[in-house]
Amino acid sequence: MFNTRIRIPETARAGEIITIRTMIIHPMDNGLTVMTNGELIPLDIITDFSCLYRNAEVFRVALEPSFSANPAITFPLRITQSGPITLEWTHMHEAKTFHHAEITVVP
Amino acid sequence: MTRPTRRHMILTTGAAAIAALSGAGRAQATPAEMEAAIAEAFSGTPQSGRIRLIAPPLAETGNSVPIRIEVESPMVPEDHVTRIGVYASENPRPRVAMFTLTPAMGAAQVEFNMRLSTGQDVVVIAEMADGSLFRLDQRIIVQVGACTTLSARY
Repeated sequence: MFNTRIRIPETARAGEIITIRTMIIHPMDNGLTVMTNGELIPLDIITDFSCLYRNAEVFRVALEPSFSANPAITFPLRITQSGPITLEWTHMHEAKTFHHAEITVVP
Repeated sequence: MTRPTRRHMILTTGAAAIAALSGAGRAQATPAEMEAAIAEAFSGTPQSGRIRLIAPPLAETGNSVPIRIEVESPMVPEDHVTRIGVYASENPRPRVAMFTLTPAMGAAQVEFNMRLSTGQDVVVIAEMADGSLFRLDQRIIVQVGACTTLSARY
C-alpha cells in the first residue's frame, strides 16, 4: 500500500462531467539510476491504473518507466447516478493499492 | 562502525557519476524503435488532426513534464476514443503510457506527468471506435533531462 492524494467531488448533478485528480506516492524506479555506491536500482514501477464507476471499468492506464515519479493522472468522468468510485493501482512487486469514494447525485 | 571518510565519499560519488553517465549514453531509443513500438500497438495509417497536446514549450526539468492531451470526440458509444498512446522518440524506452477510454468518461481528456531524457518529439496516437487513427508529433524542449538530473540517488 502506498499513500495516495485523491480529489473527487462528493456531489454532482446528473449528467455533469467531473474531474478526478489522482496521485500516488511512488518512486517509479526506471531501472537506469544508480546508488552512490554504483549499485543499480532495480526496475520498480506501477504497471496499471484503473477507475471503476458503479462497478464498471471506465478508464485504464498502462504505465511505463517513462512515467514520472509519483504518477499523477487526471481524467474526466460523466456522473449519471449515485454510486461508488474505486481507483486501483497495480504494482510490479507489491499488493494493489485501492481508493474507495462515493459520489451522490444532487438535483 | 567506521564513518565514511571524505576521500571515500569523493571516490564513490565519482564512480557513481561515471556509471550513471555511461548508463545514460547506452540507454536511448531511436525514432525507428519508437515507430516499431507504435506499429506493435496500432495497425493502420494515422491521419493528422483532432488531437491537442498542451505542454510547456520549454520544460525546466525532464523528470516531471506536465502533459495534457485533448482529443475532439463526442464520446458516445458509436463515436468515441478507445485508446490514446503516448510515445517519446528519444527516451531510453519509447513507450510512455497507454490510456484506454470509454464513453462513460464524457470527454477525451487526460493529464499526467512524464519523464523526458532530452528535448525531443512526443508522439500521441488516438484510436477511434471505428478503428481510424489520428497522430500528433510535438517537440518539447527540456533544459535538464531526466537522465542527467537524478542519475544517482543519495
